[in-house]
Amino acid sequence: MKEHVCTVVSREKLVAYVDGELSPSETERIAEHIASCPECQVVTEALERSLQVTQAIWQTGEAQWPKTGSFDRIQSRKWSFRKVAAIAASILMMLGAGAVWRMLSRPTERAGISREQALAVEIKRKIADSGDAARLLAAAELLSKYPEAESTVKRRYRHIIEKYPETTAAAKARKKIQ
Amino acid sequence: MRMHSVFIRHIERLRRLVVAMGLSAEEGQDILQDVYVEAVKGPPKYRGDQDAARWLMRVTANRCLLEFRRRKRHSRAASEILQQWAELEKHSSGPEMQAIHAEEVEAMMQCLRKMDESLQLPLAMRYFCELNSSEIGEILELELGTVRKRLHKGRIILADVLLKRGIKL
Repeated sequence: MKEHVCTVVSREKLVAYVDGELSPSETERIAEHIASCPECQVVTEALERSLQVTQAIWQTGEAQWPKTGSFDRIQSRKWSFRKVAAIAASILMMLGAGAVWRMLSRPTERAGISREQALAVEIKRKIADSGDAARLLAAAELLSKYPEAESTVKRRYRHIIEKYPETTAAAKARKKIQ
Repeated sequence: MRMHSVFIRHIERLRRLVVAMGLSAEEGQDILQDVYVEAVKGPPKYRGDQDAARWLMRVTANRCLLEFRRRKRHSRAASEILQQWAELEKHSSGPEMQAIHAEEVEAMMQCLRKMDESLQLPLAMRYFCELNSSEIGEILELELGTVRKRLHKGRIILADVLLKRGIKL
């Protein structure tokens, strides 16, 4: 902080004063001093103003979050790249080595998009879908331990079946609600 | 189910902590999702809901710190913040605040970007999550005196931004 020349009240004491942490008698004493000390007036104003601006920055950050259903949204977020990458290997195995080999060895250009590009996009989509569905299923299974969450859990199973019908997680969800 | 309901009750506060550490809504939702899964999986035994809530804050704080170290934080543009602030003010029923200037926002963002996490975390908890110094001490496992010292130091650093730049108060 710019050199605080006032020797009567320390800057830490001014922080405690603006935050209302002092006893009534001490608050009164500091208030009287500030009224007659231009140096402490400037510091007090800077302390208050800087906090206001910081809080405004935080509040606008908070406003960027979804307003409604934020919890559902948190639960249904996509898996992070790490988690998706971790399951990518097993999905590729499911798709079969033959398909991957064809993708790599028989390029065919069509309308600017080669066959391998199209297949790569399809694989990517399946990986993402399987990841999302598996994570949603895991969350629903965790919640299923609690009887109070029965309706929420069933809703989640139905969501998995409707949104990711081709995935293993959807097959498992179908068995759960049968 | 207990942790599920504790999480729901405290989600706003957890969200505020993430926001005040300068992480984006997207990163924040990833963090809270992980915290939720960890909580529902079965945290250690707790004496009461208050204790469980402190555990949630601690886990969220730790996750924030991990992200805080590897991400570019507080990266929004001052103009974007001012625009959003004007919108928020329009719908606010609270006392009106003196207009914010772009240069103040820019300077404060720069300060927050550089500020040590050991100061930023208590500041966020005290002035945005509305926790008191002893609660912060329990969550961060710090002595009360240490929390107060850090809060004072953080406040002084923030105020110094305005004083040094000669921004009119």
